[in-house]
Amino acid sequence: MTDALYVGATGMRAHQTQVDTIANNVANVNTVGFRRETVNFSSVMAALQSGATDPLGESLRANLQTRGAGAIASLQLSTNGGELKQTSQTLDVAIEGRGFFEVLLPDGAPAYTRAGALTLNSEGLLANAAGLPLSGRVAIPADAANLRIAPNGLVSGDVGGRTDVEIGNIEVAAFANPAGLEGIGENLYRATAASGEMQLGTPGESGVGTLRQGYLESSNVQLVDELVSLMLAQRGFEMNSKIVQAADQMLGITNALYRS
Amino acid sequence: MSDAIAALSDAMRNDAETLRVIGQNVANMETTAYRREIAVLRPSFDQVTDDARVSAERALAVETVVDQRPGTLKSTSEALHLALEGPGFFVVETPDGEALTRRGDFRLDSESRLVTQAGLPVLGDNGVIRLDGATPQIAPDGAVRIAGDVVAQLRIAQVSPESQLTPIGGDLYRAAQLPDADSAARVRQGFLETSNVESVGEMVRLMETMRHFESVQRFVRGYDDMMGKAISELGKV
Repeated sequence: MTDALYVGATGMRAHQTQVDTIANNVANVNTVGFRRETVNFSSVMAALQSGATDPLGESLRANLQTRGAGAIASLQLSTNGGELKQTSQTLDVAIEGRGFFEVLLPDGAPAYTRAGALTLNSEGLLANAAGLPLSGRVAIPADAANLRIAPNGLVSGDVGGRTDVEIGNIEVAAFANPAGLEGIGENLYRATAASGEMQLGTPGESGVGTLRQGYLESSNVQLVDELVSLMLAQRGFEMNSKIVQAADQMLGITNALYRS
Repeated sequence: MSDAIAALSDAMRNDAETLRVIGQNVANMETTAYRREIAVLRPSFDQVTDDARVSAERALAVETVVDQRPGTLKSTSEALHLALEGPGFFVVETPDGEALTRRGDFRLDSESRLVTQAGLPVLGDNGVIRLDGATPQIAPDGAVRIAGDVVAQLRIAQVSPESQLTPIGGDLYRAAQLPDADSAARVRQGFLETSNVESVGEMVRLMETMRHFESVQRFVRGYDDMMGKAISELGKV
């Protein structure tokens, strides 16, 4: 009876994780470059002691015996790109492909983002919307005009009366398993053991994707999909709570066996 | 303990075990390619032997078997999501040897190997499959192609219907006999198999189990009343 109680509880917890994740996805339906997270359910089995014998002395099945112990949920970053939308802003850059921009956190550690709404920070470096500089440290001269960012990451512009002066390069980071990246908030991700080694490359080469100036990648959250999942998650939670209730009821009935 | 009480308390324990199985299925309603367990009462021959009766710690009479009916296929459009149409299993490598799974929500790991969500390598005819980060095309026969060239062949194992499958967690199975022949199952890229748990069926079984449990409890109390009466009435002169 208590087994069923705990099995039901794992199911409730897994569905709770799903509701939380959907809530986070829906909250970010308009966040530039946001990647939705998906929940993976996985069944859990407990192995019964092998070598146990039944009362008749026959050994139980020689092969492994298991019994269900519920479900767990884990999170995974979706790798599908969102739609690109045109903004015509000079410093809005979208990555068409699977790469990420690499920015440097205040402590110098790298972080990765798909949000290409770039700005100039106080030092004149190309930075993300929060002012964290791109790791290539592209310094834009104060008098630069007509900035162009080519699909291969080359930044050029008109500087000091000369046209088409090369200013710097934007590189793009790619991972073997981008789904293994860990979100650290503010649309930034950190590399983990699961994501694999980061490879910095020139856009357009080695399949990391190309840049498109004047575009932003919108969030890849699909509201309809999220709401359908939310309904399923809620009903799943409800059903698992019924199992817990039933197990509790069984315990109550058992207690009622004995009348003093 | 008397025969009737022993049999009734067994029945109550079996119901509790059945409830656990229902709970397991309900908890995994949304687990990809989960196959529901069915609680089966073992024939009660050994329940009536004297040896069995004296032991309080006897094995439960409920056994579980895996319901091998397939779930439905759901489109996800992800290149590394594979579903099997027809009976058959993907073969994955675990630390304790090969295991079988129907679950095809694969991904690449940090070494660009095709792995399950739990990180276990998926096996092809020539062992572990490496994809170098490129998006593969996977044909219904399991051939993995990158830009038209066959780079690997997925191993799809056929398991005979009578061989017992033991779930070992994480939606993996071990078969009593190792699969030999290749399966006729077709691989569908961009699809996942859903869990074959039906909420209606599980709720009906839940009701049935609870009512059975309740009525058994009534029987125990009725028997207890009878014994009480026997003790108080028969003793009277």
